[in-house]
Amino acid sequence: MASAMSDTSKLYILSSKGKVFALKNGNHLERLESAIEIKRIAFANQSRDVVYGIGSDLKVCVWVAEPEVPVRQVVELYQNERWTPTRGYSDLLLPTDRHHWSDESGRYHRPREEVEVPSAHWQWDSANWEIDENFDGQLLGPDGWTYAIDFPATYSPDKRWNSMVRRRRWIRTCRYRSTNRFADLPCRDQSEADLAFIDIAAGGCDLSYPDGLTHVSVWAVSVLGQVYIRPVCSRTTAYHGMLWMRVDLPEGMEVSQIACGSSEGVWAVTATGWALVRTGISRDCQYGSGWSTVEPPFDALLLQVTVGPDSVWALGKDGSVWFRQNIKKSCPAGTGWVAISSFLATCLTVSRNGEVFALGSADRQLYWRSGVSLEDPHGRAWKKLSLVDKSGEGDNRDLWIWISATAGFLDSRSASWEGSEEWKDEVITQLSSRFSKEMQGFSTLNRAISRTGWKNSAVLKVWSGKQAAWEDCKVEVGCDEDDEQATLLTADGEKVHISMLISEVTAVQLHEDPQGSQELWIYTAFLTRAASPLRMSGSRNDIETWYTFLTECYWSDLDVKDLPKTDRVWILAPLTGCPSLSHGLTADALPSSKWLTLAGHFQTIESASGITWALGHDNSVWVWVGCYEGKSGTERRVQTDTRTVELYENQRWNPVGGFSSSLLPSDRYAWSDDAGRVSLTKDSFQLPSGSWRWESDWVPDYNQADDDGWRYSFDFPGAYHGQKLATDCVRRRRWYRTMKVESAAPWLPGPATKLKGISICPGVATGEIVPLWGVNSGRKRGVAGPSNDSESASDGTAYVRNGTKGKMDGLYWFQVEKPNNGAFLAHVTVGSSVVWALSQDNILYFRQNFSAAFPEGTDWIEVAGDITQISANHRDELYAISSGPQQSLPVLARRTGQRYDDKIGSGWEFGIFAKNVSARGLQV
Amino acid sequence: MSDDREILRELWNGQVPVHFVLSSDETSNMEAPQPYFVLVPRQTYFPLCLDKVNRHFQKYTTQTAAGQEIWLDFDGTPLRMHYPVGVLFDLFAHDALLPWTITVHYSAFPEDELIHLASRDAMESYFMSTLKEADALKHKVTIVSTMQKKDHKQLWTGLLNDRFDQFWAINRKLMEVSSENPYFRYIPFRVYQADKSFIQKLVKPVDEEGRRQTLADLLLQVFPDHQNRKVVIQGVKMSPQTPLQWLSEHFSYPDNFIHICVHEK
Repeated sequence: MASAMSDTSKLYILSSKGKVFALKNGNHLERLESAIEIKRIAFANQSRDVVYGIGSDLKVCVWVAEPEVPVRQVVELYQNERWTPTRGYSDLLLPTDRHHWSDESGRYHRPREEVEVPSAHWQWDSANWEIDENFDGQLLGPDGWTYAIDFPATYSPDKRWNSMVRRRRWIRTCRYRSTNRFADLPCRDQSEADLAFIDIAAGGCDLSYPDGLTHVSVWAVSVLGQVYIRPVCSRTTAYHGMLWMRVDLPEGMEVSQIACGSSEGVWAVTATGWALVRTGISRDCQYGSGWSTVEPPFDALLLQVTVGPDSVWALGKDGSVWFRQNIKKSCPAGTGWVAISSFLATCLTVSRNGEVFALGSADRQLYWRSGVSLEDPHGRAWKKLSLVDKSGEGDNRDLWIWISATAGFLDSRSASWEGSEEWKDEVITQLSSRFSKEMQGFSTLNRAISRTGWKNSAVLKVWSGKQAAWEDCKVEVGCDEDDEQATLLTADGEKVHISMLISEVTAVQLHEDPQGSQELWIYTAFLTRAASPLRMSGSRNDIETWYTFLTECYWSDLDVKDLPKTDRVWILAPLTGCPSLSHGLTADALPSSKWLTLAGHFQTIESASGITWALGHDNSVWVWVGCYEGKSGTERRVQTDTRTVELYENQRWNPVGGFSSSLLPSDRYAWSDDAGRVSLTKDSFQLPSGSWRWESDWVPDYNQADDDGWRYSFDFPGAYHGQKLATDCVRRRRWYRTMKVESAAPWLPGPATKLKGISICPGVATGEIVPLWGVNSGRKRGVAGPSNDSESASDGTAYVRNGTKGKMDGLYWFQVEKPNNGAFLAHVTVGSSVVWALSQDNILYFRQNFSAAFPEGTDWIEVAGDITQISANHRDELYAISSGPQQSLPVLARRTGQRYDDKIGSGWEFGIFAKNVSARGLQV
Repeated sequence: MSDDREILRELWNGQVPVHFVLSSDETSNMEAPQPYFVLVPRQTYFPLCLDKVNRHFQKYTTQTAAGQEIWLDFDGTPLRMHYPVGVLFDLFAHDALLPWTITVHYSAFPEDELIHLASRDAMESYFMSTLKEADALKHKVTIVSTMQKKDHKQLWTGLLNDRFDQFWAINRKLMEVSSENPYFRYIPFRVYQADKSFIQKLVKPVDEEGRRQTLADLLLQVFPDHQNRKVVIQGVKMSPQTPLQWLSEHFSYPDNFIHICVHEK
């Protein structure tokens, strides 16, 4: 049984040439032989391998795999006789009677010689008609007659004095012969033959039906946008059903696509990009009773929906992927749309057990959403599945255009898309038992090999602050005999430039400038105070090798074994956005604090109560999984981030040449930013660092624009619209380009919800639920609800104020007035007894007389300028990012001179360069 | 930097306690030689760590033995010193009492069982040639050939000096895979059984259908008889579900081969 199961089709996939393939056994493809080209597919039943399709003639057809037991159907007809005194029972019937040979109801005349198989797809199985000797479970005589007073009446096997009529049932079985090919469905009449379809959905295989049989619910959309169902698609009819029945739609609506899940859910997309949900579906009412409409996401119209056992996913017309929240039996329409990553797709499908698949827009390859579960219905990441075409038809270069997995049960583990990690736990256990077995008790023995000193050297360029130039230097790192102290010196030929002990180093970072050149930056306490780290540059390869090597020396000098998740300050490096966490933070001297740098590229970071989250430029959420804790994945974890840059092309109409880039002197530049104030060219956008790659070329934005992407207006700046009106004199179009960065880094994709800001409640004990607040990046909503590792009611009031970061103008604080000068507050942070705020113009304010009893405080005191970000913690310390004393790169700062009775402090001390800080994880 | 770096370090730091005794054939009867206890790194080779042992026993040996090539046996089996120490230990002494008692010989070199590898130069060229073989199995375009002479030297001295960082600074280039092509061409491995010569085959980390191959798949290719065997790599009883690519990246010896010791159950 198990092997039979593993060989069933899991998913069907359709190529642009109209060929259908079944995905079997993990990742291998098997072509379904078909003479006709298929335009759409719907996977209806896994155990019987039934797939519906729409052919290029826009007719629905069905593929039924050759079953072990042939599909048989019984054709019946009735022979009717009446008793007359002269002839006894005979075919001499009254004129009002039914025909001698008829169907069961007696309404239709069915001469035995003329009765045929249901359609050309069937053939007679038995050679002759036989008398049915079975009547409601009773055995009749060989003649099989049943008697009644008159037609139609209750028939009984016993002949009585008043039995004026009798009838018997003749049967003949036929067998379905069109297996393993797409067979067209029979048409009842001409109007049905004229129907043309554009979409098909099949499902309902997990609904239980009153008759105990497995039916398939078949839904189709006609070219006119009308919805049809096809009843009695069960095994007895070889899934052909009987007829098409139209389903009424809400007034004036047309449907463009329909989806049907394996149980109740049926959704459709209207021609206007809205969604419809079929209501009232149950085991007694397979096709439901009504529709309710569902708004599309705020900034997308829908193209496709797909329905899983307990989820609904949708595709926007722009290729964006959306998840419908809170779908329940009691609430089949759900409550809201959630955007799923920046991945663009052309088709989506959900399997019978909830696995989600997509075809990527960029490459039209099959992707699988990993980590989808009941607890995390959004899943984690899209993974490309490499498919193997066993039929060897070389059609791999075909683009995939449609997928269907509705009836497929896919075990992602057995398919080895995401292997189980149990083996690794075992390896780690075994490895530690090796240590206790072989080394414990013997550690005092001498070593056969003593570790001797060695030197690593290379010629690199070193930045000389005095000369303000790069100088070629010989860089040497030597390790002493029997360890752990290494010295680093840069030597210019003979003369020693700088010499430092590895134990003096406070951070080793890879720095990348916008031109893409890489530098290795080494900080010591002294160099941090001077705000000039030791900078080394060279070929990319050299710098990476030395970065790895020096990091290795630095970490092993610090004896970093694992990284505790709590009690750390996290910072992000400027430009690269590379995260670092503090190691041995000193209370009195920030510059001598040591930093451990990890891989990753982020915009903001937040860490508290043992949880560290970081946000990418595309507002994606990443969760730190800890380093080297042994359970990190087998596949290299990859952290990605995308950024979109844009510029506008502006044109003015003139009577001679129409629209052109010759503008009026008072106009904006031909190529500009959104506001038109800054002149830009496509070349003025560079990748922020060498790790970034362009993911696309410049493309115009066609959203609400004409065919060339133009939007028109009477004049700059104005309200732009997509169609040219007679009064329009100017037009502009938006060009955009996306860039992407990928790095192997110890971060897991977090919840799919995009966040602009996050705040994690500090000081929560291990094992307890940590309240976490985020600001949703969707334009529609302001502050998102709590989203934490599990759901709990958190201490709302305190944390709303404590944590809401992100976009807030002065108005948001309706309880607290703005600073006297009217500055708009952009950001607040709260310690245990302090409140700090940052205005939009980067001025830091302290809230005076804040206390637990009087949380409003009394007034705002201006403290300092040039502060771009702040983070206070339970110790009432304030960490900040300052634009820096040198105006070059932003720098980490900590407030000094705070006293018990005067938390405002008196000055700052500065640390290493950073663009973002979170100090909320520090424990009291 | 590689994931699971701690595992690499833990493996590198693995040492076995060895109790060296001088063969009774070699003693000069003057006084009973003191036994010699020492921790030997699993990753290294015996010829690289016998200097101190040699010095210790020289004074007890007969005149004739002095200056002759040292060789070792365990329990009567001469040890092939060109196998990594960890392999010899897992192969012969996995269940033995610790410390591992090894007998030191100077005379009667078993010419038909062992090859002469006592000199460091011979050991170095043997090590480098094994490493190059592994590289050729793993990569279509070999990495070793693109390296500089000093990188080769650094690999060897890293092993010689027992310096993890020195060795891995270069070795990571040999272990790297790209995200476009996350697998080696073939997995360099050798399967050892006591009293047999090792088995080596061409095995890929993924099959034609793109499925990740595991240790179980490898063993099936080496032993098609499905018999239950105990498999030890680097002193660790390895789960058959362990993927080969991961195993190769993390559990290879410095010569870049996975040395698999197999015991009949």
